[in-house]
Amino acid sequence: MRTENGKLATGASASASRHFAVFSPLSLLLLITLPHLQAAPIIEEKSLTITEHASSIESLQVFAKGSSQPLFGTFRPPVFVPAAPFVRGRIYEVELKLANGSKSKIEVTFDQAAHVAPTVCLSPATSLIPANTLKLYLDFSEPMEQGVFLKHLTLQKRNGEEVAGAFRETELWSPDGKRLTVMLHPGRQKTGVNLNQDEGPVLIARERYSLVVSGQWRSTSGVPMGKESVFDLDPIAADHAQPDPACWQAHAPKAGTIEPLVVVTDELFEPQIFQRALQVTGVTGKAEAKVIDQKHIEWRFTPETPWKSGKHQITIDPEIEDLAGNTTPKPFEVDLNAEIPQPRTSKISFHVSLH
Amino acid sequence: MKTMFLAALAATTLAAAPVAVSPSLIESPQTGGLEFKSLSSISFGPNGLLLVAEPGTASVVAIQTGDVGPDVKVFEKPVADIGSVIAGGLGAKKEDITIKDLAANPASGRVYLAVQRRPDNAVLIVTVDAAGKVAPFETANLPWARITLPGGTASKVTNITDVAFDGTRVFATGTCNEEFASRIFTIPVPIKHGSTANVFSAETYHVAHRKWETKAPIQSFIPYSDKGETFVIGAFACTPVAKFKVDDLQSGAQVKGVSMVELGSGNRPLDLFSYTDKSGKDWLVVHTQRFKSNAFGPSKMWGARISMDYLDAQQTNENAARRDEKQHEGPQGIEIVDSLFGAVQADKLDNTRAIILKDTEGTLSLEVAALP
Repeated sequence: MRTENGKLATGASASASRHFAVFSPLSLLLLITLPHLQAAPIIEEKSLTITEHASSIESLQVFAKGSSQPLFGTFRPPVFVPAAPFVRGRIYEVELKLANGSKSKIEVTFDQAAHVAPTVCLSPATSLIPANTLKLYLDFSEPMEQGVFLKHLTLQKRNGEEVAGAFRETELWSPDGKRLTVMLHPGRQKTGVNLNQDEGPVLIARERYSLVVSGQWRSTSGVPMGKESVFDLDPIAADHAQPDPACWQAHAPKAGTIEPLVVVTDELFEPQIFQRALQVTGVTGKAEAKVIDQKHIEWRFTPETPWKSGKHQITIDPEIEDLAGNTTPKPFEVDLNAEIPQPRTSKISFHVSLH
Repeated sequence: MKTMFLAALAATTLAAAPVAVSPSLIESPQTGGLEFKSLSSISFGPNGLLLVAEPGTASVVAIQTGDVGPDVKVFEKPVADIGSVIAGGLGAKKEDITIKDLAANPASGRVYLAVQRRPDNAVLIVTVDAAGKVAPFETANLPWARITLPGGTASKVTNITDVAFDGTRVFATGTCNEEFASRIFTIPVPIKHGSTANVFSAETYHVAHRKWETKAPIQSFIPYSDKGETFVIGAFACTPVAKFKVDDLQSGAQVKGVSMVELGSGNRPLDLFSYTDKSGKDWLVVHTQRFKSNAFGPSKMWGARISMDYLDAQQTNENAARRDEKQHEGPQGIEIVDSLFGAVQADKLDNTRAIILKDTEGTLSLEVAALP
């Protein structure tokens, strides 16, 4: 049916005597069916306000349409506050009992959020990862629903066969809900521990795999990705070595300029993390890091003020891990029967001059 | 005069009147305005003190619930299909609800559940009383304090795996999504709003073959005292149970755990608690999710109890006790707890009972499980 202002209306109560389609100041579409009230309730994320005759309401309950269970919440006339926010795109039924004994039911639709299908990227953006890689990162364009990553994420051999038990079950999201840490099961990736012995590692060098993200995965707005995303993974030899900044290349800028200082590593790190892991002592500025090929990270640091002549030093966070969890102080796995590896340097010096 | 009405499933009456703060537990408490953006672990301290881990803000919130009994009353019959009740109250489908954690209040018997709704990830704590009534946990009039957990040099805490009170301070364990190591946090009591926690970088050594040394995140833990020393007993994803001595540590120090017990591969510990049986013997209960085929029971969710004697021992990693995976019991002092089969969440109520959230073919029920 169509309402008086031409908006399509659905789901009206069979007992309706009048129908309204009303736009609130917040552009929320409300479809109501009311025998007694002329004005529409206003629904917002954390409240539903009865705008008329509220004092004559004896009781009020709100239901998600199709549910016989009322929502948790409190009604302090004229406002119902749900215990958890209303969900956009959902239809709610408001049941009112008035002081004169009459009852009525109102249907309220909380309008849908912008229908933006999320997309996803793999970080670091490479297929060549060490076979003992512990962590990869998925960067989504929208905050995603949580608690379902094992349902929507699979590791497959290139022939389509799923690698069972590939991931650690603990879910690690960034505070904004857009970055998921994909932890390959440590019990299988660690040399010598029981799962590794029983079932073997998740990745085998020179085999070919795909990390597959389901198109059914929804954003927090309820919009599914729509199509499957596939990232190729071609593991290379396992990496049991500490990162060694002595082997990184630092390209010094000229004094008196704000040319960027450029550092190129000899192995891969996750760029967003690596970007924050290096500091130039006594110099403030902006750092960026990116994968420049399948094996190297380029870190560019642009100072706020021109470089001064002389010796400068870069300090590397000792907690920065390569993809296999190795840090400069020590490798992820230490052979207790062998000589304990010495910590690698956490400093890089470079010299700034006029030429 | 307008009258206040409550919806059919109204807020719990706990918050009907302002709650007095025990000055020894919370300093500079806040009242009102408490909202959670995320939830992971919840647990109870003394006198109705609820500890809530909020990983999204890397913080622990202490709430004086006022839920202090004095009688301990718990439902006599299982609360059937509680997942549907909670889902309905949140306007969601049953499959779009996750119970993140369960805490049984030993002072009252009331059960608290941390719930997350999909797809919007909204969270809520609900309570279940002795009548089986489910209600949102209303915090409007309750005193609370929030403490931030410090991250690493360049990273923030993104997952708080567990939180607990040991009588003198609050402990929490967490990880950053950028580092593999675990952190142990301690929060002094009284808990001061706006303060931060001490942090220890925790490592444990899985010397499964007396060769390889690796670090791993703590999945669940309990504070533990023995002979005047304080430890954190932690369980790891790779299933060793290890203890960390946490006395006399300066914030920022690194603490190395010693593996005491191996439960066997293919298991993920979910909850730890300790209790004393009727004979006076102390036990550690490890509630676990199994990823291999079932053993000795009807579910991949199971639990074992471990004699505290194993934790008291002055053993090294190499001599850690190993559960006999082919037997219901063994070696002596390590036994499967049959009443925990099927439990997706578990918490101790007292020395004879645990509260479990049981999953039966996708349907959740809240039940009392007898401790052996």
